[in-house]
Amino acid sequence: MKFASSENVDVKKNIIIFLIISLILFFVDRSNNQYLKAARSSINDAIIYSTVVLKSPFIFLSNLLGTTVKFFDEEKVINKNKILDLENQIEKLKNEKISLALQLENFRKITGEENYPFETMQAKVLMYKSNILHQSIIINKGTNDGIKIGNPLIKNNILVGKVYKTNFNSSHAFLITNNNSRVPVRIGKNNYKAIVVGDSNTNNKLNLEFLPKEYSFNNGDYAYTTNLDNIMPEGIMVGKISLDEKKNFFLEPLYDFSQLDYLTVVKNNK
Amino acid sequence: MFNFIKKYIASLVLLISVLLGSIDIDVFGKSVSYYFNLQLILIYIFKISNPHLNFGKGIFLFLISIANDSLNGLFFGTSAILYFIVFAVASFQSSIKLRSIFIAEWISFGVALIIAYVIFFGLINLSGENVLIINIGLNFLITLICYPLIWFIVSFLFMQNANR
Repeated sequence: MKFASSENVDVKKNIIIFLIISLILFFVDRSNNQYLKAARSSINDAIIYSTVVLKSPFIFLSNLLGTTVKFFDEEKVINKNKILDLENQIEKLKNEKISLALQLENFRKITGEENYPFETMQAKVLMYKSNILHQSIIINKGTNDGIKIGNPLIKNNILVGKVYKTNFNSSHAFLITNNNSRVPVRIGKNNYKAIVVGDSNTNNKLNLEFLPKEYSFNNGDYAYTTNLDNIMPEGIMVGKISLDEKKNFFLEPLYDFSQLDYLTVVKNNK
Repeated sequence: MFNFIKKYIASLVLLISVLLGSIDIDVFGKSVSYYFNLQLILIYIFKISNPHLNFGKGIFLFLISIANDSLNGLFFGTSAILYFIVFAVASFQSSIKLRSIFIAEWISFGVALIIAYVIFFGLINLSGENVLIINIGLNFLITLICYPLIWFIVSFLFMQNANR
C-alpha cells in the first residue's frame, strides 16, 4: 500500500503493528491459553461492568423519552364518568394489593424466586446483545460463583439458553433463538425426539431438526428438554408447536428473551 | 473540557457507538446492529474527513475494539483486525487525493468492507462458530447503503472540513 505524504508513514507503521498484534492476540485467545484466560476474564469483567455504568445515563434518557412521549399521547380530556371509573379501579386495586401482599408473604417463606429440583442460582441480566453472529446475554455471575460453560439458563421453567463463555464475575450465554444453539427436546404426547435450532432470520421461530421420518403434532403441543447430553435437566419447557402460513410446523418461543431481567442458572443437574 | 472533547471526538463517538450497541433497538424483529456496522462507517468517515486523525496513533482504536470484542463475546483481536483494515483503506484514500470526490470515497469504502468482511468470515469460522453468508451479505449491503446518510450526519455535526 502506498501512502503519499511522509506524515502518513507513522500511521502506516502503526496500522501494521496493530494488525500483527491483533492477529497474535486472536490466535493466543483462541488457543485458550491458561495465563491469558485469567487476564481475559479480568479485562472482560472490567469492560462489562464499566459499560453497565456508562450506558446507564443513556438508558435513563431513553426511558425518560419513552415516558414523556407516552404522557403526551394520553387523552387530555377526562370526563366525570372516567374519574368515577378510575376511583372504582383504585378501590379494586387496593383490595387486590392486600390479597397479593398476603400471598407474597407466603411465597417469601419459600427460598429463592423459583424452585427447581436441581441446584440453581439467581442471576441478573446485565446486557442483551444481538448482532449478525449472536443473540446473547451477559449475566452477573461467573466462575467465582461456580458457573461453568454449558450451564443452562431458565426463567419460569422456560429454557432461555446456555452459558458459552465465563469470566470471573460475569458470563456470556447463547439464547435458544441463536442459530448456534442446539437443544435436545421431546415433543408432544408421543415424545418425539428432536433438536431445536435457532432461526437466523427471526426471533419468533425455532427450527426442529432430526425429527423421525413419520411424525404428527397437534397445534399447541409443548417441547420439553431431555437429559440426552447429561447437561440439560429434564422437563424444562422450550417452546410451543405452531403452524405457519404454509401449514408447516415450527416451534414458537414462550418468552420475549430481549426483555429478560433476572433468570436462574442451573449449576448441577441432580 | 470542551477542547478535550473536540480533540478526541472521533474516539469518543466510536466508543459511545460501541457502548450503545448493547442497548437493544429493534427493527423488523432484529437489533439494529444485525443490519449494519456503524463502527466501520464511523472509522472510515472520520479518517476521510480529517486525514490528520489517527485515533491516538491507533491505540484508542485498538482499545475500543477490545471493548467491542469483550461485549460481543468475540476472541480478542477480531474487531481490531476489521477496524484497522478499514482505517488503512481510509488512510490510503485520504492520502492519494487532492480534493474530496464522494463517489470515489464510497467505492473505496465498499472495497474496504469487502476485505474486512471476508477476513471476518474467516476469523469466525476459525472460532468454530456458524455464521450465515446471507447475514454477512445483508450487513455488508446495508452498511454500504447507509454510508451517505452517516457521512451527512457526521460531517454536519462534527467535521468542519468535511466538504474539503
